[in-house]
Amino acid sequence: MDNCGLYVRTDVNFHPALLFFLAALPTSAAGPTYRELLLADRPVAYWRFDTIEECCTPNETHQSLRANAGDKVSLLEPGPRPPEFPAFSEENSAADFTGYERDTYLRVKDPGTKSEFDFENGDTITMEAWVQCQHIAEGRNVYIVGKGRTGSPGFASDNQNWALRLRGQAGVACPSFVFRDRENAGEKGWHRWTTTSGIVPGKEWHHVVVSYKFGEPGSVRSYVNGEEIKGAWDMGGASSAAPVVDNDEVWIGGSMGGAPQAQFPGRIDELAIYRTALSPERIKIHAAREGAIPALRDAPASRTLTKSEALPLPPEIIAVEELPKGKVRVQVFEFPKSAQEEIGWVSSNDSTKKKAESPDADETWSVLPGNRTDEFTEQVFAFADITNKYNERGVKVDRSAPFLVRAAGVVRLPAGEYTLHLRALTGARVAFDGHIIAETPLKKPKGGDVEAVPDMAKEQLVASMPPLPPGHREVQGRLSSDGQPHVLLIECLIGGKGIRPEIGELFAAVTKDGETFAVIGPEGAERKTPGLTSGEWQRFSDEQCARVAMLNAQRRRNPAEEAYWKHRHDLARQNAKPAPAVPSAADDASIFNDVDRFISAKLAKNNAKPAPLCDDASFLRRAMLDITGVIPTEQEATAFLADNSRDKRAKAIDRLLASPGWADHWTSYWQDVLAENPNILKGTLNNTGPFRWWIHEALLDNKPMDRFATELITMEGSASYGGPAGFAIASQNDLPMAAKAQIVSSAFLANEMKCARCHDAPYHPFEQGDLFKIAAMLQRAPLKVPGSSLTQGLTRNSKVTVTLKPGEMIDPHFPFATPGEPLPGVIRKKDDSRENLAAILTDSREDRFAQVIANRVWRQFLGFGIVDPVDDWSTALASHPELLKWLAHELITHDYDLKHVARLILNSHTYQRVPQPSAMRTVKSSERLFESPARRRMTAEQLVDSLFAVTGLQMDSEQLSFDPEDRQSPKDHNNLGIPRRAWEFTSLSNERDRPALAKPRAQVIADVLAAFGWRESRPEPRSTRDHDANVLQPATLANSTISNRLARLSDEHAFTALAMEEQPLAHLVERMFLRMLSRPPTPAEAAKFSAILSPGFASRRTGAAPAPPRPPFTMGVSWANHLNPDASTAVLAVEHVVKAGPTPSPQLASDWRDRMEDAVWALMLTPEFTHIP
Amino acid sequence: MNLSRRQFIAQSALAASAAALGAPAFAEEAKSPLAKAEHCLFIWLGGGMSHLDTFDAKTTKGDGLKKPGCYYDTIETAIPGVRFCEHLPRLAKMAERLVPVRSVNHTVIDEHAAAVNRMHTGRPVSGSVVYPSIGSIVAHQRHAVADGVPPYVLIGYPSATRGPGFLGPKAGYVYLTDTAAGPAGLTRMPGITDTRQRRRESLLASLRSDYVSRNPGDRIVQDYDDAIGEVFKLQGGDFMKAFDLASEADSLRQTYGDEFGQRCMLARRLIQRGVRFVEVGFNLNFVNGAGWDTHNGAQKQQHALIQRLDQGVAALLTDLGNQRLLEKTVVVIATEFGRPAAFDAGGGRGHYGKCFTCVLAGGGLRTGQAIGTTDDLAMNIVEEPVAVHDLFATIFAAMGINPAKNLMDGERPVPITDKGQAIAKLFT
Repeated sequence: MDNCGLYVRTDVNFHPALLFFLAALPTSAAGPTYRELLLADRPVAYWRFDTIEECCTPNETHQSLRANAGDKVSLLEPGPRPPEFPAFSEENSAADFTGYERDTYLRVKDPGTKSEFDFENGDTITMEAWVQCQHIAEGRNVYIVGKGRTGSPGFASDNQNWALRLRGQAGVACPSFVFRDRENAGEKGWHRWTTTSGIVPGKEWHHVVVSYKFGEPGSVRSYVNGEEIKGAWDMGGASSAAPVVDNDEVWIGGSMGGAPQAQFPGRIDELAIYRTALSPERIKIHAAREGAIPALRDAPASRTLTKSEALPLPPEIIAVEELPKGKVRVQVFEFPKSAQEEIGWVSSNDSTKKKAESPDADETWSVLPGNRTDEFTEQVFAFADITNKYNERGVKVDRSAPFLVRAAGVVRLPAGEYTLHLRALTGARVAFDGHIIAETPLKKPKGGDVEAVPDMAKEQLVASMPPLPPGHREVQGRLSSDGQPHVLLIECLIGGKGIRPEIGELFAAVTKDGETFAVIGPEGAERKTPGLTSGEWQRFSDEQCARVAMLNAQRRRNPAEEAYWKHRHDLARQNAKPAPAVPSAADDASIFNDVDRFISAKLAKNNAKPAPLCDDASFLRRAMLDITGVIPTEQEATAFLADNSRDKRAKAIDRLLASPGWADHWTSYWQDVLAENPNILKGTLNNTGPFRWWIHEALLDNKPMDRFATELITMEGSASYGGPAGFAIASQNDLPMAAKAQIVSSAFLANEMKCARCHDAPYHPFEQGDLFKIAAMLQRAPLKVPGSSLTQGLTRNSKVTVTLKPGEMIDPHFPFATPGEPLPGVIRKKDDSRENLAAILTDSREDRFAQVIANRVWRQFLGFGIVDPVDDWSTALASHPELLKWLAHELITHDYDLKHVARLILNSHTYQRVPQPSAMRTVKSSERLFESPARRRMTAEQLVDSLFAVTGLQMDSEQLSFDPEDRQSPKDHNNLGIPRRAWEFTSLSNERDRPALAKPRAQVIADVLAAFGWRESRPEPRSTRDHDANVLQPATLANSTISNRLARLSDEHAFTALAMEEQPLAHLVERMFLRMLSRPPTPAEAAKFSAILSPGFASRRTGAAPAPPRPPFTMGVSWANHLNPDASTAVLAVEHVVKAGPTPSPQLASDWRDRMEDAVWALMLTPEFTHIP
Repeated sequence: MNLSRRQFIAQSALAASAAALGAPAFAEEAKSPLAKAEHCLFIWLGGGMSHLDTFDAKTTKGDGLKKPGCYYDTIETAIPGVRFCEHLPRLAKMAERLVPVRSVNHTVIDEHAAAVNRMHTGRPVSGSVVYPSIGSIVAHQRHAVADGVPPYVLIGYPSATRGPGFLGPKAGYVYLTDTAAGPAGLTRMPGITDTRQRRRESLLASLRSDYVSRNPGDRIVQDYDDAIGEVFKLQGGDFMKAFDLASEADSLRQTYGDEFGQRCMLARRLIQRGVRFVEVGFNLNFVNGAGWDTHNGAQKQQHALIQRLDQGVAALLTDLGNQRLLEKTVVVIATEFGRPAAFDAGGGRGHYGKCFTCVLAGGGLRTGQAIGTTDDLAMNIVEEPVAVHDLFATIFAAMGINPAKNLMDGERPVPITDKGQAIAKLFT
């Protein structure tokens, strides 16, 4: 509280202690104080802004000033002070509404009817204030004070009783009076009088007065700094009509619901309202100052400007001292939702029409978002990623469109002249001490498809920099440094009407010699600024993404939310059913933990023996694939094999469970189960939003499973960019919530209700209405049965019946028995049927949810479920019902921590045994013994991720979007980014068969994924994949473009580096096996591989330099030009290069390298590689 | 032509509504006549071929501006009363081998992907079932004709729409995007000489046999190992020789024309080796940028596409005839929708699904007749509407597959078509 303004919240009473800070009333020996001067003129309201509450008026009823909810007006900023203003005290302070902040106004409650704020014809009003207007946009009207037009409920949006404003005309701020009459509707009801000269925006204080006698249009007067100035009725004409009178509030410094364009851009002090016309003489006395009176400037009346004519707001001026040392301060500013809707360029009172059509605003520098919603520091002036925004539940939400990123830091460049280089995807500008040095054009969305295909290499200004990505622009400016510290600022507008919120590559760099550019860093930065080469930029960008991921994790964390879940978990523990007794089993070698006791008991009963434990190498590979989705590195394998400690398996399990790989591996599972199905082009076929990002974050955070289910079911957050709201979408589905009800039921209750979508399920104990009731809960409203949902044309002998009728309304209601009223404190929004549904499903008094989840994990680790199928329990029986209950109890009593159950299973001997053919028999699930896990083939994702991990190669996929330029409608184009792990792939969506829409680099990877059972589109949930072998699987590994890349020893390949190392051949062969198969070779294998690699081994190294890197693909093919034949040609050229494969490393002798490649190929192809040991 | 309305039409309305859901548990009905074709060659004109500018040409000529109509002059064909555009001279002459079905119709017009899906699965999108494509259904029902050959080959871009849906990967396709390279996965990579291939297989053989012997009785391992064996069998076998187009006489290759023609020729070579279903994508966007999606300026070069279609398909039908394959191969020219008679602001055409043309040939069908008639501007069906599921039923029936047969999506029966009925008069 001692170093900045007071933050005041609506309807919060001030703590008495605050009064301690209030400034003492000034006294003056030289003459009357300003306060005394003013009170002598008997204002009806007078706000001094030295303290928060003080209003020096005779009327006590409206004494309190209150800032709007959650936002700030600083009330302790300097106001007019001596010596220039001798009537003021040294401590005089003013209200600061600076910047583009939205909602920085002050509210005064209306005292009620017939108050001193109500004016009828014949009444006179005088409004007076000291103002410091720092800038003003053309055609903009900023509020000093006004009554009405607050957007408060119960009042018309245009109920302007009266207002004093400044209006921007020809760069000058002209005092302006406005009121709305009570007779005329629409435009005609507005009456605005504006002066024809005004004050020059800046740091000067000005004294402004307007007075008016209602009913007498000729009576209006305005005075600036004590001098009367002329004006004219410039809107709605002069009128003798009486003004609107109501009980809406008086707002200071803003209006129009807090819209930024009405916000006062500066400070206001000593605001007074009189019910008399102040005399010119008194006004002169009030305006007294020492020294020269600032000159006014003529401002011919301007018409209302179109948005293209509106002047941009200048960059924020920031002092060196405000900024952190050695860092770049990054701030994110947003429009509140309502303000976005209000930004129209028509005269503001008829913006309602625009509301419905365009909730997003155009990108423009003349209306800037002002709500600061994030702040963090970065190392340098370069961005490849920016934090996300999360709500209080920790799920991703959308920022306003557009939002502003403002990065500022203190830089100190040695004295001299520089060229500054700015690269940006969107509109961005760089300013040095407030002066714009370089600016990229604002984005204009466009829906074309036959534009010229740009060669980005030609668009790029500096050839040595990393390739300019499509849609990015570069500009340069001159910068002169005196060698002193200065503030450098990058502002960037991201997203907007019809533009996805993407930052792209954003950086500012400088050069002195005109050649070597370096990214600008702050004075005293910890990190060296990255050089601008592809490699360094990539490293920097990876580093930054990792840092941003950490910032995102912090932003998701919310102690209040965690406290709520802790409360629920405490309740869950207290209310859980008792755990089933663990069977007593002899503590022999077959038992490690209680899981094994359950298994052992049934084995014994069936006179069966458990299989032996697998060896360490097998264990590590299996556990890594099951936990992180990739095979061990050589170092991991070696270290594990060399470790002699008894608990090394348990330690490895703990280490792996803590790795972020857990999230990568399990995301694809939930994508399948929850039918995550985004499309990068025009949603069809049950497409959803990309809630994969939420799944991944939930797993990274290890969100408890009840919370996971609740967040999914409540479907909050961002729909298009990665929040669980994306789950709510089902394109081209006439009943999305029925589809979602089906998914929720199968995922969390193992109730397969698919059939009930159209008819009563013939093989399941469900009626159609059951599904529709859940669907209505998800809909949060009664659901109308559509005609399409009912099966028609049934044959006479059909087993199927239909109980619902088209048009019937189904109420939200849980159709099955519930565990009773929700436990206290569980439901936060009482009437929210989604929350209720989630609460019922996850209620610990009924353990079905916990059993289903535990069984799913069991199925993934052991190859079969305790109940199969895992998503449909209507007829299946459990093999170990007590074990399942026990696992469910463990889940419930351990805060629904999935990793806890995973840890129990992974540590069990049951998991760690050698797979036996007997364990793979097709039997009813009730008959399964789990003498060992079943053999499993790697999933598509495990395989692809492992192949890239072991070869050290980048995936090198295209960006998963047809609109890398970020110009097409977000409705039709998604951008899922450049995948780093297999789960990030999606359908490449070239149903149009257009060569220009092909993605040859991604396709070769998607082909492998598809061959191994990954679904490119997931219109329906699936809990288990088809794992049957087919010829395409080994074929794509043996002969595809991607296998060519994986087996070719290019300079980037990890096995090239391995082969270059000085070491005996036997050692090399051993390491190849360790890397590929996580085990050393058998003697026979070692002999065979050594024999192949031995000839020429000694002279394998040629001493040649690595091959020059492949030139980047620079043709900017995008949706905007894909029907231009050049786009097809460009993509085919890429395909050609991709097919040819990477350049073999010249560092290895080609004959020997060929044999080494063949060995790598064979190790990749053996079934041992693709099967989990 | 004096065609009367046929019985199957009466069923359409009912079936169309049932189509929205993947009707469950219908008793199988077998009303369609079944024929005995062995192969299907499905030529796909991506983007939406303008029927009015090709196989349903009208003498009302449009001007590319305000006046709607056919963009070209028309010519007579071997079918009395049926006119093609002037750029289809070869096919016009051999129209006795064709069945232009001019009354195909559906309601998906504004979205390519959805229409492509409709014309590959024969049904509207359902919220709960991923339907298999026609190629996958044929592959699933009839398998490959010969051993060591995949049943379904796609010459074009892979997509889910062309995939097996609930039938699973075994009913999937092998694809290639250009004829010079073989299919992804079966063509040996460049630089892999015979010596290297032998070395690779030899190293792999010992790894395989060790692993299999260490896991006796493990069916999963064994199946995968068998699949590896299959790869080498396919790769070294007759199938891959299909891609050696240079082994055809130059004169024949020239008759087929450029890339699209070469694809047609490759398709013939594939079915000769026992492939059951080949989809040939005609997606040469370089000709006019947009391929068959002739909005705006793309219309101006449309004739170049039509000419290539004429040349390629005429050569194909002739060649199939000469090789005695035409009788046992159903050739289909299909597209996602047609285009309206009026022009857009840029002189091209928008999308139009209310009536458009697909063409059938070969397969033992009674060719030389047109099905369906349309009005003066080919905007409305006058006689014999053919719903998509009826077109599909016709193709299935020609291949001896009962269009009413149920496939199983898990435990759930899903009929091959939604009560589609084959066009009876194409069957003898």
